[in-house]
Amino acid sequence: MASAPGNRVLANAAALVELLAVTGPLNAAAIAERLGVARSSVYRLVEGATAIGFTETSADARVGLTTRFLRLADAAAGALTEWSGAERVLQRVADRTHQTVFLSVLRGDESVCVAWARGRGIDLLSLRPGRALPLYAGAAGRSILAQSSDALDDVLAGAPFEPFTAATLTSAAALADDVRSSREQGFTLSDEDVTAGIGAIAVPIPCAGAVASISAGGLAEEIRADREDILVELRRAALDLAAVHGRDRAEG
Amino acid sequence: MNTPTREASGLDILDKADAALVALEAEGSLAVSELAAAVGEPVSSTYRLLRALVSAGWVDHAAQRGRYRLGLAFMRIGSLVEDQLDIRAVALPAMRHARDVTGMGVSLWVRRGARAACIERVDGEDVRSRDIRLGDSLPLLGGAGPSVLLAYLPASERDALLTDATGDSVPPVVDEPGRRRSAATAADPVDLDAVRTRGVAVAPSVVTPGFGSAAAPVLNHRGEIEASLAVSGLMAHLDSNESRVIDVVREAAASASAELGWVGESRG
Repeated sequence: MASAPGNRVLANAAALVELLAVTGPLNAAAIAERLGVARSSVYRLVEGATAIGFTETSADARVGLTTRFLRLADAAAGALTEWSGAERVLQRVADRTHQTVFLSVLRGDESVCVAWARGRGIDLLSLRPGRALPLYAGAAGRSILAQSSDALDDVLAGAPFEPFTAATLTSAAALADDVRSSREQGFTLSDEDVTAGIGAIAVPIPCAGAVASISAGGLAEEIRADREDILVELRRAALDLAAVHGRDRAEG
Repeated sequence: MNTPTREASGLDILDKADAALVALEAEGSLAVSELAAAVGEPVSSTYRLLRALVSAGWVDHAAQRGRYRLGLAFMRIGSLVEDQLDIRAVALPAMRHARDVTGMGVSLWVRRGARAACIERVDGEDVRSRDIRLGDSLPLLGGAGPSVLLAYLPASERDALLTDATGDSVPPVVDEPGRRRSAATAADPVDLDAVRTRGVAVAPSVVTPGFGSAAAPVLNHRGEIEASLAVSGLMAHLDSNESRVIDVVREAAASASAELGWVGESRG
């Protein structure tokens, strides 16, 4: 087992899951084309994925992911034991600021949101648990970038960056300036650089063994107006989250 | 799908992967020896399997050294799958079936703040079942559909909303021209605990006298209330056929819940 064909099957199955997660249900011909594998291989792959409850085929012969992924997502979130207890801290900030509050961590070359507490304007925001953003855009990502010298060189080498909005930082120089000012002020401001009309503030979480930030996002005008009050809450929460994270490491 | 074929084609690795994922889903995090036992393979080949699973993003190293857990990738995939679930599309076949069986109008309700909004509707045979219109919004204490939404909220949220729903902070519904409103709901609030116990609410219409609805909850994969599905018609008809209508509405709501990933109390 875990033979060469086995590894290829697993890689293809992972690619199939990624594809269907993004596109929604597709027929075998479309899957074959998008994955660049033979139609006959797609049938076998889908048969294997269906046997383990990953995919199902609708009456119109389109293959889609099953709701098993909803349960796997919850289990994956629950397995982040180093952050268990974080929701309570996030909720406190959401209650006091009325903004939606996110916990994000560095993973590869992205910042991934691992927990949130909803404020009033959740439908407006692009970030949610499991969602990733590049490190050059958004308060959480740029805050995480400012904490990671390793990631910084790699990210800067990737300039120019693809813009989300007219306010997205696209040059290496602008991003390097932003990192410098994040480090000096101890916080990172996002003013419509991911979504027009939406702003956020992020503060680093001072914990060993992880690069993480807490951020509060909402309507850009509210974020601008309440910046100081939000910062007070975020800074206090960042210390609490560092304690949450440290407790798990001590036990582990 | 016989075993030799699956092994020859490498498909058996998906069964092994599945065994590992099931074990991790149940336990949170596991050491290699524990995963080897779950997968039914020697530790050496379990290491190879784990390398492949980590590279697929399905498994991550856990916070504690030497242990493994489900991959963060599942959080992203799960949130994308959740986005693709359109509750109206998911509930519509069950709603049509309930209409075909009862001949009554069927509607789907979701909570919007302290109110309930009708987001989908299937007409019944009776013209007057057009009592409920798409986009209608009612207080959460108004009728069976909205009451189910309120009854299945967590106690703390329910209590907070109840204060709103009966207090002055929520403006009263403005009667629309040509639509009459009975005073039934305000005088005779639905017993929310009874709704939870029975899994269904039966209440007179707040819009048209003589009309009423039976409604049941549509739950998501966590068992949280997402919507309520209501069958509406003449209250006399509902009463005389109550048991049958109630079975139909319960089944329709359960079928929509299953489409959202709800697998029942045993797993929840």
